[in-house]
Amino acid sequence: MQKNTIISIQQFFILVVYFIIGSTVIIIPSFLALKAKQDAWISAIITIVLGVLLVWMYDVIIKEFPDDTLIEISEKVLGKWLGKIASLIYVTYFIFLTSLIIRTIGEFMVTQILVETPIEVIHILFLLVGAMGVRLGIEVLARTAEIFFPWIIFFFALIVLFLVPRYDFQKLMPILENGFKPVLDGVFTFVSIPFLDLIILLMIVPFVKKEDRNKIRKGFIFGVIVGGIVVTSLVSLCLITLGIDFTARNTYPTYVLAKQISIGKFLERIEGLVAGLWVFTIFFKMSICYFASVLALAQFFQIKNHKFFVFPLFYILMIYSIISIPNWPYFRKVALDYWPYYVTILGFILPFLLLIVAKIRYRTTRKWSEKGV
Amino acid sequence: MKIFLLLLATIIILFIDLPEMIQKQLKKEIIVYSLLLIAGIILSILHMLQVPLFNPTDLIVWMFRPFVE
Repeated sequence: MQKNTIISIQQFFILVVYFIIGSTVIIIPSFLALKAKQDAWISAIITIVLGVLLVWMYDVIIKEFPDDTLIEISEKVLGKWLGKIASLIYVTYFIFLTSLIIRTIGEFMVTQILVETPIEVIHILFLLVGAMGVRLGIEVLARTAEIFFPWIIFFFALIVLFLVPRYDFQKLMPILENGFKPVLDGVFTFVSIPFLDLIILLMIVPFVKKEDRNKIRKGFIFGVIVGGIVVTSLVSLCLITLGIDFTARNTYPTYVLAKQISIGKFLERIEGLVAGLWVFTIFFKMSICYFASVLALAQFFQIKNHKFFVFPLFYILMIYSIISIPNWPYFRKVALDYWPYYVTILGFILPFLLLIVAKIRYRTTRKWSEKGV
Repeated sequence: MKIFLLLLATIIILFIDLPEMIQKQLKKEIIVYSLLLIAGIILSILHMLQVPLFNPTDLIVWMFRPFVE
């Protein structure tokens, strides 16, 4: 592995923000409106708090093993065989997540923008650019992400400011109509889609500069908060301009939201431009996951140069992005009902176990070394 | 035709990756690389011939069905 490539803490922060925004922004508003109705914004705010706590836990793991990726950590902590099993679970999860993210953007493009293009073409284009980025390394991806950051803020500001005439806060009433249970259902859904997937970033943390190591917690938590605020405000925008019913029934409420922009019957139909917000962020999220799966695969086979795995994985990602989701309603059902349990195990329970085992083993080894001295 | 294009793409990829691996004599890399590449090509050809392949999403649905119901 090439750990000599380095990224600064600002770049890491931007990657975290992209990771939170990408693909969440087009999937989550409709899910939250379905689960929590008009209280979706409350559950989004609760989720940000939970996300910060989760990242706090990841940061404890990072503090224990600052130079290791998730695969190396699990092999160090659990020993050879159990560690290999755990890393295999993570490798398959990374590859699976990457293919799902590609499918998200492909499905969006094919149904909304490029209606007559075959979905495979969009997947190949996205994956080729991603493969190029991954071959060049995380440093290149991080720098590109930094360049696009002002654009992301610009698109976000565009959608928030231009919709001001259409705000209708009456649509948020009555608050907590059905008590707290639907809100908690919404929290479970929202935590599972971007926040528990953040475990993937443990593959990238070792590439952060040595002198920025002590700021990782700050950058990580700040990134989660900023990304969370962007998603929360887009969810709330959907609720106050489109209403609950329309948001819940539509597949891409944020895109419909961008279509609503109309300033004096002059500035209209800028949704293609605003769609840049999620095209860019999904591209970077996909590249991060692609990079993580290539790196994880290389470390699983204990091979130093991860570059060689980019193209073999290309085929597998390409096929699985098509066959793992036969149709979009199926994906919606899986992501709403089954996916949260899967990522809770991988993003919370397994890291928590790793942390506990690491603490116990470290304590005993430390005692041994003290005796030796 | 599709299979021909796939093999053409594979040849291009081999031209990009193989020389470096052969030059540095990375044996383990070459073995794992070719295994993965062959797996990918077989999957692609099966998909093109419309053979129903194993779907990981179904596995997740099967695994967590007791929780959901």
